[in-house]
Amino acid sequence: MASTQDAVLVASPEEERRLSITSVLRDHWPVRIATTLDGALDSLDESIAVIVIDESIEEAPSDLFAARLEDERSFQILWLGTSDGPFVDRAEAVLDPARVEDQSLTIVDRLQRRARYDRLLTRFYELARVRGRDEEKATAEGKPVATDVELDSLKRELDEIVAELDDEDAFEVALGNRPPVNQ
Amino acid sequence: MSDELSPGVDATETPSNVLCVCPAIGNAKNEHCRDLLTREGPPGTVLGVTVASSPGERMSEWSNVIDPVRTTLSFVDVSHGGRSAAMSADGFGGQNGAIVNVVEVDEVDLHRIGTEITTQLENAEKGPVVVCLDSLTDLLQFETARTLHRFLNVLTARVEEADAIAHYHIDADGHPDRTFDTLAPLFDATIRADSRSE
Repeated sequence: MASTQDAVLVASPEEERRLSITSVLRDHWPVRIATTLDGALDSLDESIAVIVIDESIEEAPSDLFAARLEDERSFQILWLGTSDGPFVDRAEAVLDPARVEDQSLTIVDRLQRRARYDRLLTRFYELARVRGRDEEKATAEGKPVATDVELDSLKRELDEIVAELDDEDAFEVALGNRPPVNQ
Repeated sequence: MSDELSPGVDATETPSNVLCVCPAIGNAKNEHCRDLLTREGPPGTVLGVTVASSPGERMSEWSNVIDPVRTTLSFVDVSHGGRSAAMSADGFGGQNGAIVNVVEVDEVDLHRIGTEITTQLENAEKGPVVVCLDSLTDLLQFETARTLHRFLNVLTARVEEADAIAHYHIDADGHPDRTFDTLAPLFDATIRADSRSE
């Protein structure tokens, strides 16, 4: 079932490409479109899990990568173009425009899992830190730590997602390494 | 000493992942290590992950409870470079010629350490499979608490998926209490053998 944090943003100046990929994806996830890089940056918010960037977009997408680093965002970048473009090595996956029909669903599904895993890891650590701060006080007062139930639930959810990721994906997402992933 | 199960963990099941909080100096750490190695009986496979200690030191500590001829021993050794990938246990002080597989990781590269561990888990043929990581204190000298937390999330999940059991040492005197409390939710149980546990 779609969550509120699994939207796909398709950024392409070419209408035909936008239509072809959105027609495949929109039955599975909320899809937004942008025709320029500025438009894509303006559309960035917490609901975006995957951004598809067309290699034919006019400006270099450096700001997009910078925004992700600066804001510690979980969105995954899918490069729509050839596998030897200048920004390929900074994207999580590459999609050949000729393979949109048969590959985009599989690749975006994988990137959705990565983005979700990243978000939950962040949430889990934040809660665990709160627990670390509250544990002493709660113990002194004889109360259970308020976050334990949520932490336990989150851990189960994390374990379910990571079971669907291979080791490379799992450790990449967890450790923040972003080597190229060519499909 | 105190044992504490995490919420949601069935008390009748052997915990898959145990945080072992003991002083680095003294007998408690190695006593608990030996107990945790043999919780399910004699282990068929032991995978040691050594960061500060060496494979030889761990094997020496385990000599009373592990028979290296019957137990498959492997190490992911992060502390020393230049050791060959497979060498006789005689190199660690003589263990009846048992073959011990040692994978060297020349620096604290969590991605490499993680994938080496999961590869060893996948290749383990004899159960029970037991993992000993020594220690989180050493890893925390090279990585942030956040990064280590995320790494352990993947690793503990992989241990459970492999039906293995693992324990992770951390120096009870090396960190403030909030470090243990922040790490604890990653594990099914925490064993403490320090002044706080009394």
